[in-house]
Amino acid sequence: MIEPRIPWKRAGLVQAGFLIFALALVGRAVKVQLLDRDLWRQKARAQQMASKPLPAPRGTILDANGIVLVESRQLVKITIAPNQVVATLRRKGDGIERMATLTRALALAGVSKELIAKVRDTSRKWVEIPGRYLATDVSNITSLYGVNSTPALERVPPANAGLRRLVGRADDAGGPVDGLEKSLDQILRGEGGRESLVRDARGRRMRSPAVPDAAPTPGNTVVLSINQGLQDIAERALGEAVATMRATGGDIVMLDPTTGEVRAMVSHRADKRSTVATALSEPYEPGSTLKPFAAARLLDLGRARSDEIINTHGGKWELNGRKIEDDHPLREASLFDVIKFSSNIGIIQFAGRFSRDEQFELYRDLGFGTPTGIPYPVESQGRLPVPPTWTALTPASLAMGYEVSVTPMQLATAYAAIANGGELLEPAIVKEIRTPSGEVTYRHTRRVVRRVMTEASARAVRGMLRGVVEAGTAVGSNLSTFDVAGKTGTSKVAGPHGYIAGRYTASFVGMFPADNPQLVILVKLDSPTKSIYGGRAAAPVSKVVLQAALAARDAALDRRTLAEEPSRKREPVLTPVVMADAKPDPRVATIVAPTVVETVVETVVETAAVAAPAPAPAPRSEPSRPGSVAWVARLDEPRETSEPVVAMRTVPDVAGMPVRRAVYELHRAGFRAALAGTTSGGDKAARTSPAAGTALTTGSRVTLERAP
Amino acid sequence: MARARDESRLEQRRAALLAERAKLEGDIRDASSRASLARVAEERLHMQIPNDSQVILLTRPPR
Repeated sequence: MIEPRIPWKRAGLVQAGFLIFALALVGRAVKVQLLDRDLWRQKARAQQMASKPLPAPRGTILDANGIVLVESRQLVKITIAPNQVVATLRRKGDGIERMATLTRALALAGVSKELIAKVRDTSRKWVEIPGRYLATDVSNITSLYGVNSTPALERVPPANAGLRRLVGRADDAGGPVDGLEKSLDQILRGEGGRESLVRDARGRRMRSPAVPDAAPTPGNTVVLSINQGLQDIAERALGEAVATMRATGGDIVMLDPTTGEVRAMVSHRADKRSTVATALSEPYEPGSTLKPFAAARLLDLGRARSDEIINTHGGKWELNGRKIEDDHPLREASLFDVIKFSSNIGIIQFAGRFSRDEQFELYRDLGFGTPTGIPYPVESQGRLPVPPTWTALTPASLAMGYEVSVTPMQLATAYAAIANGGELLEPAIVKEIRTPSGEVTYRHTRRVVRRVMTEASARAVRGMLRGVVEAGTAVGSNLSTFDVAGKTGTSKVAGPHGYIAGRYTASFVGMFPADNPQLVILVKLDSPTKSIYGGRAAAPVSKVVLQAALAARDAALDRRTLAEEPSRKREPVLTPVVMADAKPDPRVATIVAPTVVETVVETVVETAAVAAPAPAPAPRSEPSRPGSVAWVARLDEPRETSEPVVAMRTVPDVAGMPVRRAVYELHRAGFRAALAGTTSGGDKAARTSPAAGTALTTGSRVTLERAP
Repeated sequence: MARARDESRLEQRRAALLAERAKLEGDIRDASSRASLARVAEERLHMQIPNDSQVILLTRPPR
């Protein structure tokens, strides 16, 4: 009998196989449970957990007084699943009724009929409602089954149109588009966070209570130097001026000449596609507003005096074949009067004392042809040709403010140098930057670019500019209580093929008040048609703005300083009674006033008006009446002007003019006009006595004779 | 899960209310701005901006 052979080798192999398998299982279990524990735990959590990026709100933009100009708000976007809305579920109620409620609510919210029709189309799986809504406003919709809301940030632009141009826009995704939003994006942009979500058994996501969120960090807060009150005033004044003067647009820039901070910047364009701050982006030929700088440099170099008289050829002159004319013809004029009456002939001759390099350096020093440094993406540097490219007529053109292009901001900055005593400052639009926790990381400090004129020259030029406003080309900007200094400009508009016939830029640059200016204001109107002259179109806008600013509480003016301003035309400033043993002050007159302050002021004004012409020494104290308090009215210091109040003028030639016009011209020149004889005679003026061209002091009497 | 659901709902509610507050504050700012008030004052109350001679600046006397 043959014993069966045991396949021990095969059995051993099977057993070994099982053993290896068991060991592999154990090893794998050890790897999974012990070695890769964290990895698998993370994978398991990832199935249950999810995270969602949280957008960071961009930083808030404030005005100089802390008023919010631009901010980010959290709104919601609405999406609708029509097939879910109409689904009748046991726990969700009747679908038809729900759809009716939804469409009614959408109609009330102003959603278009076409879109509502899409929502009613139940074959659609998804309809997105355009726009962003406050969650509380649409809670009646978003609570319906099938309607979903997604949080979304919205950048709320400033209400003021001029500010919108300056600040720019950010898109729906929070990215910058233009303006300060773009140039300051690194500062305004926040750091996004993540929200931890947990899935329930149905796969619905909700915020995890166990895993902390990574909260988004908002962007930094940017405080602008803009004063919203002043901005509103300028915006309105410019809008009205553009409409009244039938202009195609305009700009206003206001800045503090002591710090260089921009207080208001407004641009207006008839072309609705224009969205940028044209005060920074569109250069123009400034015309006569450039003349004072040549005067200042001539004074600095000692090549002219304010009272130096030159021949202005009766208002008509020819230079290198080019005819030059003055709107206010004079036979001869001092440098003071050249500025005051904006004589082209005069300033060309005075500027002829510069070499080409000196004249170029003058305008280059003022910052023309160079960006000002304001963080604006499309700031223009303007145009200043270098001397090798000049023609024989360029020096004369530059003296009159042609062949050079400047932005309103560049010109306002240059005028700030005249206002502050000769220092060209870097203009600033950003006053402060704060982190979300309130820590100040940047604060603007006054930065001097260079000195462009001496203090004495700046003071002298301010005197000339005061004359322009008092009796020159800019009387329309004059205030009755404060002196204003400024210069008008009327320049032709250049096109691709030369100057465009009939199109002009009317401008005025002023400083308020004339002594210790607190504001430089530039007003520019593009192609006005009602009046083309800067003195008639632009200068009155400055007056409107300054009057409104004086009446406003928050318009960036230092009222305390203004009240004590020596150039105030209203005389009194209240001070208490001086000590009895104090030395007599010839400027002090004592009055007795009731205790009510308002009444005191009225009384003081009245008394001072009487006392002002003859400020004789007055008693230093007065016994007080019962119920009254003694005050003194301190009369102003005599005005300090570097220019003589009485100036030498030449009698204008009015022969042949209508009598009314002739009298007007004589008055404009600073003389007292008197008609000779009786009312008999013609309507035309024949001659004057003294004769035209005679130099006389202002205020002198000039007799006008009628033609027979 | 119930707690997570409640927290999520309350958080959404809080965010909605904060957004509404921001909106209302913005509305107040716009309504009280010079641009709005000046128009209303002129049209409804027939007020006008005074010229500079009608503005009297007072100096506070030193105590």
